[in-house]
Formats: sequence, structure tokens, C-alpha cells
Amino acid sequence: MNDPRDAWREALAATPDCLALERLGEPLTAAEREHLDTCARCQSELALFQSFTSDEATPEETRAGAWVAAELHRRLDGAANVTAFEPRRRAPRFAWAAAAAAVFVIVAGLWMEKREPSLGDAGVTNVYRTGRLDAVAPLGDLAAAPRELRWNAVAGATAYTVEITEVDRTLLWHSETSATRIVLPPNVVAQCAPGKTLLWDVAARRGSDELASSGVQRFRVAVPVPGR
Amino acid sequence: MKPMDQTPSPETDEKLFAAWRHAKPEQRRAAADRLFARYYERVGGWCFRLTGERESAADLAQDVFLKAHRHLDSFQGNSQFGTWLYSIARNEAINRSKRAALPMDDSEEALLDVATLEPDPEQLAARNSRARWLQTFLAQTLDEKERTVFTLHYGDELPLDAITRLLRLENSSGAKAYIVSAKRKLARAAQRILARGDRP
Ligand SMILES: [Zn+2]
Repeated sequence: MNDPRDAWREALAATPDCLALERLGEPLTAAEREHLDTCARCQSELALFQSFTSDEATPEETRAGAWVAAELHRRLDGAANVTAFEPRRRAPRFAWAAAAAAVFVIVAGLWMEKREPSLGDAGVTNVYRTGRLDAVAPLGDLAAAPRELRWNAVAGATAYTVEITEVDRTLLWHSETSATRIVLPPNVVAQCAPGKTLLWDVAARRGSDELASSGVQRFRVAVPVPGR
Repeated sequence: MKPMDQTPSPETDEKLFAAWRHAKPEQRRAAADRLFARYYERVGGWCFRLTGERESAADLAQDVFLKAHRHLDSFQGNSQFGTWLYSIARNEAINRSKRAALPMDDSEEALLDVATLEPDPEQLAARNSRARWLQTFLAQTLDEKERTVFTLHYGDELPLDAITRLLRLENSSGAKAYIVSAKRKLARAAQRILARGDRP
């Protein structure tokens, strides 16, 4: 065994005395407590478990948790058959983003060439939660940078959270409003460069409940084509 | 633990699990979705703390729920549903960390001495096993936070930045500081043992 980490992995593995994970959420017996006092394995398991059960969260974590939840609804809800829905084994992130961008360029090029309906009309399937939230604009190819985001109202919603991200999901901007439109700040408008695809989504909330989500929408300011 | 994305509602995990168990085959998927969706936000937030990045957090969370869907019939109700789901998330997360090989660092070579230290036979017998002896050695050498960070990093191979976020370590260099001090203490203790035949 040459790698000290192999030795440590073995040394730090659970022993037959260690607490089962299922016990972590339950009141412990005196014997379990005594074991826990001296076992680094069980102490670290408990710390990890508490990181899961804790309601404490930074605003960034809260937003990320909500974003992942919306994403899970989109990916998983209503899939007819779980076993047919095997986990995606992703290529490294940047390779994936580059591939997605390349596909987009090709597909967008074909669409523009054939003057087919805009991107927003095809290829994006939204899965809604309890209600439907229709994104209105911007969608697909645009002649100029958008000045605002618009969507249809959802009954019962008290707030809408919006986000604009790069295709690799780097967050560019997020905000919240009680209206069904929001004006983009100039620094965001400035980032809508011709040819660059951006993603946005809007979620309707009532308090901390998410009522509906638009799913991810795409838009891009078209690159001017000489002679057209 | 309460699911995170719910305001108080008459639906409980127990009721939803019972509804899933008694659902007609064509309604089972939807019944399971209702149960799992209560935890999307909690699992998603936890996965984000682990990966530090939304898309990979969503991929991890997706795998967790797919696994949970496939194994839902193994949930016996012996623990809280949230704890059962956590155990799937924890195993999935740690398996992924172990698949991602970390580059070896020179200072870790020194740790081999400690990991392979042999207690004298008398002590070994008294402690029943080497693992227990080592646990005692760690308990005597490191403070609780150092032990926890050390175990998560070397036992479970969680990256240091993930440990920093999960344990909410607020010092400037996060988990790394605990690893540095743990290594220093362990190396010193190992030298003492090797030099004097001392045993913890
Ligand atoms: Zn233990």
C-alpha cells in the first residue's frame, strides 16, 4: 500500500461498533453516545448529517437549492418510467458547455437560414409544477438586445424570481418582482452581445413556496447578416 | 427534519409514503414524486454546498432521487424518511468523490507513518482492534473539528472546499487550516511514538 490515503481510508472506515446512518436522526442510547464521544468516524458522519438537516442557509444556497429543485421538477417529474431515466454521465462541464454551444450555433444557423420559427418555439420543453408559467419575452432570436423580461401572471403568486445565466449556467443577474415584467439593468443589456445565447427563467412564488416555473428559456441577439 | 420547500401542510412523509405504497401501479410514479418533491430543495441545497456549482449539484441530486425511486420499496419506516433519503445522498456524494482521484501531495507521504503505526501487542489486545486504537490515537492527538475535517477528507475523500461549505467553516482558509494543523500534530505524535516506543 503506497498511497497513505489508502491506509487512512481503511483506518478511518466504520467499524462494527459504529452507528448506522439511520440512527443519526434518532435519540441515541447511552452506549451509542459513549461510542460517539471517541469515534472520529461517527463524529464526522454526524457533522455531515447535520449539514443536511440544518435549516441554516446563505442566500446563495437558498437560491441554488430553489434552482436545483426547479431543475429536478423539470428533469424528473412525470417521467413515465424511472428506469428509463438513467442518470446522465456528463462529460466534463466545459466540454459539455462547449458542445452545447456548438450544437446551438449549428442549429441556430440552420433555423436562421430556413427562416423557421424562432428558437423559443422549438426544442425547449417546460415541465410545470402545480401551475403553468408562460415566459413571454425574450425568446429565440432577437433583432436587438432585450430591455425587459415578461411573463404571464400565475394565480396566487406574490413574487416572481428571475434569473439570467450564461449557457454554462453562470449566473449573470437575478432579481425579484411582484409584477409580470422586469426591466433589465444596463449592465445586463450590455452583456446581450450579438450571437451570444443567454438563458433565463422565472419562477412564481408564494412566500417560500414555488408555485410554477417557466423552465429554462433561451434568447440570442442575431448577428447582422450582410445583404439581408 | 422538515422538508425545506414546504410551508406547514397536512401532508406528511408518512402519509405520502403510505399513499405511494397503496397506489395503483399507474399512479405510483406520481405518488413517489409527491413524496420526493418535498425534499428537492433540501437535497438540492446540500448538493450545492457539496459541489459549489448549480449544474453539478442538480446532476448529483438527480442521481440521488433516481436511486431513491428505484429503492423506495426498501424503506422500512425504521428511521425518518428524511434520514433514509440522506443516507442515499451521502453515499452517492462520497462515491463520486472517491471516483475523482485527487492528486497526491508530498506532505501526505509523512502521514503514512501514522496510518500504519502499530501499537504494541498489549495495547492492541486491550483495544480489540487496530481501528479502535487508531480512533483513540486521533482522539488524543486532534481536537474534534480537526478529527472531523481529517476524517471527511482522508476517510471519505471529500474535497476541502466542499468540507468548508458543508461544515460552515468561517476561518479564512477553511478546511485547509484544520488539515494543516492535524498533519502537524499527527506527525509530531508519530515521531514521539517512534522515538520513544511511546503508545497512546
Ligand atoms: Zn464509530
